[in-house]
Amino acid sequence: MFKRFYHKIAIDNIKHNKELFLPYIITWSLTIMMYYILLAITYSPELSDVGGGDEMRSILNFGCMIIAIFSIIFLFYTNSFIIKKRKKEISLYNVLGLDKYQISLIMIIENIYIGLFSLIVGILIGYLFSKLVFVILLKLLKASIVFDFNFSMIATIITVILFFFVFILVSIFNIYQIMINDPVNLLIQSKAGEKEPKTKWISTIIGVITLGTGYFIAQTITDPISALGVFFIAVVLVMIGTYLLFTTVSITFLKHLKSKHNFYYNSKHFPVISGMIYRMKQNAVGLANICILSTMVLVTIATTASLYFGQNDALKQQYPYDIVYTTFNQNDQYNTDLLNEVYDLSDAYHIELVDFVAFEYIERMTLRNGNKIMLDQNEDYDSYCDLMIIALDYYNAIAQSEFTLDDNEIITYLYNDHIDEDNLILFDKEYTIIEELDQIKIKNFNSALISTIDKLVVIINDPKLLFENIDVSDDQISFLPSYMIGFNVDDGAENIDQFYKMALLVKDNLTRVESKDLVRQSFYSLYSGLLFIGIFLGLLFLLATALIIYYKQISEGYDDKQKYQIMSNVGMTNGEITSCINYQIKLVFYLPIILACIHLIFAFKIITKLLALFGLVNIKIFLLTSVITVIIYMILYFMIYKLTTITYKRIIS
Amino acid sequence: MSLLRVEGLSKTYTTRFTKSTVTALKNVTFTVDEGEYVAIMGESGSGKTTLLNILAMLDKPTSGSILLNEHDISKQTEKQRTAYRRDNLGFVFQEFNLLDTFSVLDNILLPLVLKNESYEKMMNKAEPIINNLQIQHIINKFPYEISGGEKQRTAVARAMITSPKLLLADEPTGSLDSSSSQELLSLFSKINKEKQTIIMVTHSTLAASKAERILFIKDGIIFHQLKREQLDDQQFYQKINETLLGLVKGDKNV
Repeated sequence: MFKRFYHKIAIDNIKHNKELFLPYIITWSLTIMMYYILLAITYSPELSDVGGGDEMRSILNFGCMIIAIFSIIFLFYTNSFIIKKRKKEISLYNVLGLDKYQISLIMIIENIYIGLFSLIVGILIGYLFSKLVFVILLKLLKASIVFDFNFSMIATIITVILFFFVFILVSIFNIYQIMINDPVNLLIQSKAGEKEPKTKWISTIIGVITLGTGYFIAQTITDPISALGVFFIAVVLVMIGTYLLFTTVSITFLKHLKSKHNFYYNSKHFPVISGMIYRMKQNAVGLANICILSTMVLVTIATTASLYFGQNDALKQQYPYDIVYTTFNQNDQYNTDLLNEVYDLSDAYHIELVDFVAFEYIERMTLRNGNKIMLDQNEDYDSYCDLMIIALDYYNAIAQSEFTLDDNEIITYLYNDHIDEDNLILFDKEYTIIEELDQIKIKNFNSALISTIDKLVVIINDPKLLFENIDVSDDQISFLPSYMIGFNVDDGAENIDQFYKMALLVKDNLTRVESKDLVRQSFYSLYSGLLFIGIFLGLLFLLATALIIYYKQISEGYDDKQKYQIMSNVGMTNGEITSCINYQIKLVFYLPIILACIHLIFAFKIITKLLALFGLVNIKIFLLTSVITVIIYMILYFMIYKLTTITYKRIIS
Repeated sequence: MSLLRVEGLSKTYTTRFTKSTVTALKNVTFTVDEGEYVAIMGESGSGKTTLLNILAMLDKPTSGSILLNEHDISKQTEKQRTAYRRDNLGFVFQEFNLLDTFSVLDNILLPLVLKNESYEKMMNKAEPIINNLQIQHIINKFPYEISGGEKQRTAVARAMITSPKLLLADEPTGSLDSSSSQELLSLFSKINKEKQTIIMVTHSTLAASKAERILFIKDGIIFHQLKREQLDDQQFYQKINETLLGLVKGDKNV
């Protein structure tokens, strides 16, 4: 009998608080749906049949974890907003004679209904969409499309467990809120005016400094390795800066505007500035959250998309040759055999070898100071230098050139730089530089991931002569030559697949083979996996943003209603009120997204450096994906704005 | 010459669900001269607030006309009415209607700011009023920091700052304690002596007894009026009470 009564109240509450509960239920359902889809794909047996599917699975697994964590945070946040809005209602129940235990019971029953409903709807929609999403994923993977995709029991079980956990968490929080609620206070206090926030100079200054420092760090980064290290620091600084910017810097700024009488006492600025001061006080954290979530969406999607679309570039960058053979310290006979085997193979399959290089080289990490190259750590040096030494005969063969050198003469090539001296002092011995090359035909040498490490190629008559003076006994290995064969083939050629297969079998295990074709598949699964997770996370963040904005709008609507009524009484026309409302809403709306875009602009440089670590050096791709992401995000954001503004205006009028 | 002339004013409301009509005002006709202090008395539901809302142009009459300085203001568009209200009328409400987010000074300046006057000009207008109402000490405070009496004086200052032709007050003492009420009423008497025309809606005999003339309204009809003539406040108060008593008894010929 009593139980039924609680159920009735719970259902009535949900029905009558549509404005509050509908978005909440939608959020639950969508979150559950997204989580289910991701899980269902991760655990689908079909994924194993796809090339690169297993690598993809481990990336998706990682994505599942991230989505789970954000789902918990996000649902918890939404719930806490709702319970705050409902405190008055709770107090009313209390006054009407329901004790706190009974109110808790009602709330739990409400949440059970919402949770069950969302679980069923979420998993059902998830099931319907999982096929589509799987096909999209296969498209990203450039794999052949399988339409066989079934309902996943394991995904359902894990989803139910996770969201049951969220439900428990939310319920505990709600019960706690009900227990600490003092009904008398709440019924009285609602009309008491709020204090105008004070200008906090110290936090304002800290806010400006942290944001400035974060931006500065992001701008002054020069190489990817240090970018990796400071990226996190810059992110934390910018986040702190963002929170302080919204909470205190904004208020300081608005108060400054307010002190300018001629600006402040103007029919357009007057209601907006004073309104904004209070709005910033109440909503600063929410706006900062929106800003940070937006930045995360933009960065996540722009980077993962640029990695995905730039993977061919990255592949080319990291693997300039389709096939590369390297052997280490073998005799000339071995090397010649290897070369012949490659020739035979290409003849057998009628494959033309393009950009062909075959040469012996010595590679050694050294230190450089101007035109001085040395080994000793104790000496003065400006930078590390990756030194490659190649015999002139090999170089002439590759470049089809006819250079001749004396024993004390060399040709040099310094990647992206010039020595600009007549001579080079190599391990205390002076060599005359006959020519400094701008380009080198050996493609591996045309890149440097880490810009603080120089890449220097020295072409010399006889490399062995270089080391006459050096005691190499304790450091032998570093001065022994490697032999490399590298070439490209026409991808469209007939028999290419068999050729690739056979190319891997050339020679014995003393020779290392790198096949771009083989790497390509793992690149696809890595980058399409990342893009996939990026889009998923982006959608989740967007959902979070939309919800924060929505709840903000409706709570502000109730607060502003009375204010605009008074304004109308003292002589503001409806048109003026509308334009005033629009101005204020727009300001609140666009502030976070504009700041998010500024964040992205400042992060641009540091992100391109990080992308270089993945082999993506084509900045244009990242620029393009960023711009497109921003535009799409703006459109979605604008749609959210329009939708919530409708609700807001309905409350106001 | 009369400042305000109300002729045959009627207002009927149609309820949303049952479509039945409720008559709030029936053929109300009266005039107010310049510099007069008129109180409109009636019980809750008598139509006095509807009448004030129509005079304030917050609401439209169903029929009849309102002439302020011989201009018919009942037939104007929303925009014109707002402008007219801003330029010619001042309001004092029972609930003060101050904006919490503005300081006392900003609340007072609000109507002028909406008219886009310069800061110097606004302050020139505000200063004498602030001094006159003795609220210099609170102008930088916020509404939640001041007492009810101070709030209502702020509201009066806001109403006065546009130098309105007509000051409309809706139960101005309704939310005040008795000493604050007395203060406010003597303030009204004072500004009335300075030639400010006031129309006050009230159900308080005490408040009404300060006026020059009282219109009694019941069931949407103005059925009686009382003039102070040579009576002092005390005697006028007595007379109002007798009239009200007569009303209760149903004596139509008071």
